Amino acid sequence: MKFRSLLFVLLTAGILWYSSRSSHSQSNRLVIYCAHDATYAQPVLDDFTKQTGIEINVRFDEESNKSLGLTNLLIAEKDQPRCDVFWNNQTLGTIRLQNEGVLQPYLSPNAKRIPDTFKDPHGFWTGFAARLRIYIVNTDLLEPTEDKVAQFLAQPDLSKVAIAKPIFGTTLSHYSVLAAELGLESLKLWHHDLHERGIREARGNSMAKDLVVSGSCTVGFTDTDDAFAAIDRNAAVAMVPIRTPGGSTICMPNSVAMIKDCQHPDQAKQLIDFLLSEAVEVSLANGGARQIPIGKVNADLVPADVQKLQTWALDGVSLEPASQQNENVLDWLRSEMMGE
Amino acid sequence: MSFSLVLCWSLIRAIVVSTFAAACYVPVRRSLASHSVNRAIPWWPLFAVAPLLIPDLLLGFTYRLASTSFDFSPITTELFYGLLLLTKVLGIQVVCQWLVPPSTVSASSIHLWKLTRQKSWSGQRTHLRLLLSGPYRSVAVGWTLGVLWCFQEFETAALLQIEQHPIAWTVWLFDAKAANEPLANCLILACPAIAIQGVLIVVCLATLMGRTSGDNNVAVNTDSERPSNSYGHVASRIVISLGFVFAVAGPLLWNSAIGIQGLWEFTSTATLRTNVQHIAKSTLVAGLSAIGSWLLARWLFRTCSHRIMVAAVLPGLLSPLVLSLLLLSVFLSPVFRTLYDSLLPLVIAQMVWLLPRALLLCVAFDRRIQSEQIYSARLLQRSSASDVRKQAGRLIWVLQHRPAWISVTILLVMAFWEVTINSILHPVSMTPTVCTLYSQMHFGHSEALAGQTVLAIVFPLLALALLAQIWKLVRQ
Repeated sequence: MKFRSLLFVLLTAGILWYSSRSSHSQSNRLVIYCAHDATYAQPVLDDFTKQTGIEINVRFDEESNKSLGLTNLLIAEKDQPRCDVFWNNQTLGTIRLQNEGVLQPYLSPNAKRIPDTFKDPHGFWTGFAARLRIYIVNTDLLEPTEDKVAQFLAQPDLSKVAIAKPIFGTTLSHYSVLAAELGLESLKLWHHDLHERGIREARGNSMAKDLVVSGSCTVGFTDTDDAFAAIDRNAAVAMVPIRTPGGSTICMPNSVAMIKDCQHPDQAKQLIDFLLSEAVEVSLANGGARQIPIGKVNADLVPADVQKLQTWALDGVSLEPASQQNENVLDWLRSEMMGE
Repeated sequence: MSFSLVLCWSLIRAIVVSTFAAACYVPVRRSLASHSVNRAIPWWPLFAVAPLLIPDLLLGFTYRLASTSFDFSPITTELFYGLLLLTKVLGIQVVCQWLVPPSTVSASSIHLWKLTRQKSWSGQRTHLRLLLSGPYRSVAVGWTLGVLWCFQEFETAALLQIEQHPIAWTVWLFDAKAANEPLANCLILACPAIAIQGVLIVVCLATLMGRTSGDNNVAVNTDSERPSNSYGHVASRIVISLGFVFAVAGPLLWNSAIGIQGLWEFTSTATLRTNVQHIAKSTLVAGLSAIGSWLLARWLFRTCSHRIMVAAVLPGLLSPLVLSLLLLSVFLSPVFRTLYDSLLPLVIAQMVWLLPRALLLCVAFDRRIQSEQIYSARLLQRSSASDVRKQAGRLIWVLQHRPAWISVTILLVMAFWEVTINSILHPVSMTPTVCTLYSQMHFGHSEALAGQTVLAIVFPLLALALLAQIWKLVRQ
């Protein structure tokens, strides 16, 4: 027992020493919280390190960790931040951080190429490389046109339609956009109507997509990146844009922001400039997630399937009003869940 | 659906699955007893144990699409989930049969009690007590642990869930937190779940700590003497076969081709070194937590009263989510803020979560091995004859060190594959392997991912086996 205890003490001391030593040596590293998927974001960040020589530590928003989320973590760490730059895969959460006083403004020279709709005028955050909310349609079961999908969704039985749980991710943003446009009460009616007609609630967009790919469902609410994952595997699916009652599409850009009182402001600015560059938007457009460039880019460098999305993105709704509804929607969904 | 209803649903499912597993296992248990007498390899129990080695993460991802082909019947989804749980609980029954020491209550004493024909309530109660502390002792412990296992399950339920089925309190609590439910409310909500698990742990410890026999054959003979029902044998073997096919053969066949290809690709690319480094770091942290919780459990078991022991394990029965968020808030407070971005929060959370499991392993092994045996082996070690000393060294390894290594391995695997604690509390400089795998599996299959998964399953086990061998050589 004594020998084992001694071994444990030595092992603990060794690991804690290593941990403190490595955190000391890594205190010079730029710290990024990244909500964009690691598979697609890591190569971009590696390029940044290659170009600038700035070493970075990244904390990705794991799928398993949706309950905490990087936004909540940044709020919790507000008084003593360890993060320098937040790369969010949405905008609503970033606007929430701005309201909570977690961000500090930085007007990047590269932000000039981004349309005003997708950036904060004071430079608290800037959008780039977007996703769209779309219907994924099983083409063996339905013709993928806006009219056909609208007719399909007007049926009394929606058991062949899938949607993700709205308390997470882009489905929550979708709900917030609808709440901003229709009002919360109308959103509630719409939500209850879908469920009364038997819509299938999956746990995430990925599963909603899988239900359509497998043919269990004909139509699913999801995002362009999930749909491209299926298309790349030669699944018989196609995309149709989701439009709000006002006719707008729901375009959700990534957003980048600098954290207030961060430890490496100069390096943070370099990274923000890099992420807002044309090269990064082109690179993300050519990646597996086919993010849609929202700034000016050389059209020849954008793949054809993304160019089609660019035209849909032009109809994108402003997300500012949705950000004000985000908390209300979440409160309502929580009370529904609690059975209140 | 309200939380209390969700909690009841989860508990009832856990009881049903564990009871079914216990009923299926009894005939196999007799077979195991007769096999051990005949010294043949106990294939059926090994088939039953194998599903325990398949990580929930892999199981969930393999079957998350299969569950969608049920045409959305909540009943079939629940049945499918129940079947996956059953495969694990059968394995727990076998492990309990191997670990739980036999009781001093022999078959003859039970027979004698039956002859007294006491029909009163107290007589029936005594009879039941004799059965549970006698021939059905390991089944009772296995049943309790099975209920506990099913009740705590999160990963598979979350990955399979469509239309709120399978219903699980752990998933419900996760969603409530995602919907911004304050941590204090989550804690209050989790209290009944903690109480249920606390009761199960107390029952388990009480059964384990009852009087035991030093002679393993007492219980074994009790079973092997019984005539076995051939229908029961066939039925239980069908269930075990199905379990093996579902939980082991399915995921392995589904992933093996691209897993091997992925491993092959690893050997020819520069990513192998990075991946091995990541897995080694995760193994080191999980190993530290496993050893820490094991030593703490032994200390609690040897020096503390039962009340303190039970009180000490209760925080570990919180769901990993609540436990992690609690520790996160502690380490974000000004007093502990300097330790926040280190491995300490992660290691502490894993140790606390592992402690109840470590204590059960500790008690089970301690009851199984008699101190007289170890003492005799130690006396033999003082012999002047080198052959005798070697034999004594081997005996001490078998009696004392091997159980400790087995326990630490089980705990390490648990800590390594636990997703929630790892993802919430890891420092920014280290991403645990399980988090990387979880996020990548979200995007579907790839050779590299499958190769990484195979490496993540094999590496910790190989590393521990190697260390155990080195330890064995050094200590002998």
